[in-house]
This record gives sequence, structure tokens and C-alpha cells, in this order.
Amino acid sequence: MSSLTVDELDMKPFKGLNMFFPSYSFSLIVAPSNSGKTILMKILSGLIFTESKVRVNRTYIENIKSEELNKKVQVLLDISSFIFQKETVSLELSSLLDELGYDKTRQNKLMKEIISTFSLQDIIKKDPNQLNYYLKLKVLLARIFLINPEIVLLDDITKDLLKEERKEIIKILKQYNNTGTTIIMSSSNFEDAIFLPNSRIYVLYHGDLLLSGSLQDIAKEDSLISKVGLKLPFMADLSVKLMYYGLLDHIELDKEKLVDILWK
Amino acid sequence: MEIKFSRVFGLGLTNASFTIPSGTICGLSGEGSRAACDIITSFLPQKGSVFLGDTKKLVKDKKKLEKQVVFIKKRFENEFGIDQIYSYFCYYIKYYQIKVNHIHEKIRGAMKIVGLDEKLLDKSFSSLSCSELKLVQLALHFLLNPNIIILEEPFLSFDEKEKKKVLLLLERLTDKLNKTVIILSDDSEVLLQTTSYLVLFSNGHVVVEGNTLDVYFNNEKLEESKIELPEIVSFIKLVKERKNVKLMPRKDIKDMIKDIYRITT
Repeated sequence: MSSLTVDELDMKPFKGLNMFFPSYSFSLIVAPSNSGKTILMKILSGLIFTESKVRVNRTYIENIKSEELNKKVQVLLDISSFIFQKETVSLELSSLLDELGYDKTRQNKLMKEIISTFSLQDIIKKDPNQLNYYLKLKVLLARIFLINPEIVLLDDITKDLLKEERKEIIKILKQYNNTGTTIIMSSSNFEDAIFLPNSRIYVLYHGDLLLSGSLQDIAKEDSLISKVGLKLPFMADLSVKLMYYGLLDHIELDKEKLVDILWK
Repeated sequence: MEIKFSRVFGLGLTNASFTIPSGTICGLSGEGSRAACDIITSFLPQKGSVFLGDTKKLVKDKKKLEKQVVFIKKRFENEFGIDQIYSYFCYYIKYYQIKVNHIHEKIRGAMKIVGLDEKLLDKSFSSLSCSELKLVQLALHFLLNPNIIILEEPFLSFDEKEKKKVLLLLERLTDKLNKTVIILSDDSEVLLQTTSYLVLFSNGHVVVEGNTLDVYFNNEKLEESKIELPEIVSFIKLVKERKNVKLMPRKDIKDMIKDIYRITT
């Protein structure tokens, strides 16, 4: 599986940006609006050309042939403007499997798996262009994971989702991450970090990498996070503030444990 | 303008009765909330009575009541296919037959109300950020000078600063201009932070209505209907269940922490 490296990226809005996403990792890039999340995703995927700045493993991205890059790295950008070409979800997925050259037996197996993983049973015969954002997202993710890429880049995909929907989508992404896909997700909502307790988080602001680390590490910089227009997840925010009052000595994300600590 | 539903059936609503006070930011949430908004904005047939202010909503009063209510969708839809913002405003005024003395002044005024620089008028919609686009969307609808403004998930994809900007505007509309603002959302965190009155639905029925804090903190019906509670509410309830310690109902985490500090030290 593959890692992704950014070396001294000097392209507006970034100045000397360095980032490393190891193989098998699930990283979260959190940033307020207009901080360069989408541009970064386009750079990481090769959609915006750079020279000697982005590497997939040891190879610079501009040196990877587009067909090979397409198989290795998949990116999901603006979902709301995406137009599906086929009349049903089923046709959309099966036509992709045809393009990938799978035989019918393998196609049936993969279709069954993907429908089950993404719970697409109820919408399989529906027009994907008529689906709401959440269901459209599921179909788009299903397409991506049928390709079985090594790296998946997701740009602010949870922004229009409700809490339970975000939780479900991230749970599915974690399943793929566990089987070896490197996932890099950008978000303007810090709450997504709650569903990724073991992930490395990067906080971007107007092109600058402000913070990186686990949620527990980053949460300690709550005033900086607030200054840039972000809001920590509730339990992280509560823990940090309780630490200021001397009532807690670490970030506790579990509600029941925190209550037990406060009222021994 | 107060909104009153009395035993309304239709569009998935069952015997819905509730009153939204005038000049408030009211949240509508749950299965049936969208139907309630559709009934407020349209003249679709339903059983029961709907009052906007003192006027019962009847088809014969359509022309009079239509411009009293605006529904601002989650995402801006370019109705006219015009990309330049100023031109779009001009066409909007013409299309909706909005009476103006000086069109430029009217447009500038609308932009000023929402706190946007009029220089944005020369730009295209595609060049705007999420919050700028939402504020332009609001400015357009304000040209109609409605009494009731319904916003569908207005804070989605906003960061905290942008949320505050939009919320301040909504508060100005209710406090200073006595507009009734309805936030249609299923996000309990947003509803707790932004509304003073709530109507919660489940399966087309009104489960509870009232002051937002009262609804979330003092209502057992919410658990029965499996309505999601905001995190701070869940935490305060957990403290009561687990340790029998009663914390004050709070919206703000800082206020809750001061309460915790007072009790534990």
C-alpha cells in the first residue's frame, strides 16, 4: 500500500508546506472555509500540477502515468455538482465493473459486497442523480472503492451530513482503511475527529499547517483553534476547560468516565 | 408575525397543533417539520387551520400572503441562470414585481442589511465563499420584506465565525424588525445554540413545543421519541442519572464548567 508525501510546497496559499501520510493511515485535515483544503486535495491527487513536491511512495506524482495514477489514487471533490451517467445506481456500478475488466462472476461478487457495505439495497434501482446528498455520497464512495485504490482523498464530504450519517460514512471508511487503503479526509467540522480517535489530525489555516497530532494533543491548543474559527468536539472542549480549572489532568473523551472522575 | 397551526392534517402531518411566537428564532425539527414548512409557504390543501398573524391562510388570500413568507433553501439555486450578482438582483426585482424607487439603492440596502460589501455585487456567484453565498441568498429574499423567514439548515458547511455572522443577522431581524425566523434543522446542537423556541416532530406528530431550554432539559417525551439531544444536555442528564447531581440547564459549556467547579470544590 502507499504513502503520500508533500515536500516544501510553495504554491498559493501554501508556503513551504510539509506533510506525510503514511501507508495504512487515516488522516484528517481540519480547516475553516477558504483555507486551501480543496486546493490541497487537488495537488495531492495530481489534478493541480506540481513539480517535485508530491510523492506517492518514492515517486513524484507527475512521473506516474495517468492511467496508473487513476488506479492508485482516487479523489472525491464537489459531490453536489457530480452528474451520474447511468439511469440507475445498479447500472452505474456495473458499468464501472465492466470498464475495470472483471468477469461476470467477479462482478456479481463485488456488486453484492459493495451493496452490502454501503447499504444500497433500497436505492439500487433508483436514478442516482435524484438522490439526496447522503445517498449520492454513498454511491460515489462505492464507485471509488470498486476501483480499489491505494490512496483515497476526500474533500469535505461530511459537510452536508447529519451526525449519524457522518458516523456511518466514517465507519465504512475505517473498514476500508483497516484493509490497507490510505485515507486522507479534509473537513471543516472538528466533530469528525470524534469518530477517528486514532487518526492523525492536521489543522490548516489559510495555507499554513498550524497543528498536527492526535486529538488529545491538538485539543490543548483550544484557544488557537477557536481563533481560527474552528470548534473542538464537545468532550475534547469540556476536558480542556476542566483542565484549566484543575479538575482534570488529561483529555477524556468518554462521557461516563469523565463523570466518574469528577464525582469520585 | 405569529404562526398558528390548529389540528392540521396533510402532507404527512397528523393533528398538528402548535404556535410559533412572533419575533422569535424558532426551530422546527423531526419528521413532519418539513411538511409544516411546506404548508406555511404553500397553499396546498390540508385539513385544519393555519393562521399567519390574524389571517387564516386561505387560497383566496394567496396574493396577500405569498410575499409574507420566504423559504430559503439549504443551497442557493440560480433560478435565472444569471451569474453576475448585480444583474441577478435586478432581474429578481423585476421577476417578483418588487416595487422600488431606486433599484440600486434597494440592492445596496439589502447587501447592507446582511453585512456584505456592495463590491461583491460586481462578482459572480461562483466566486463567493459558502457564507457569502448564504448572505447574498438572504439579501435577495429580504427584498421581498417578508414577515416570516424559513431557513433550511442555514449553518451547514459553515465554520464557527461564519455561523456567528449569520446568527447575529437573524437575531437583528427578530429583535429589531420583529420578523419571525424559522430554522428547519435536524441538528440538535444548532437548534440549542440558535433558537429560543422549538417545535419537535416525530412521525408527523408534534411531540413537544416550547422554550428551547425547557424542551431539551425538562421533557421526558424526547427520550420516548428517541429525539437526539445536544451533547451538553446529554452530559448534564448523565451527571444526574449517574451521580444524582443536578446541574443547571445550560447552553454554554463555560457556564456549565463554572457550575461543576462550584459543586466539586
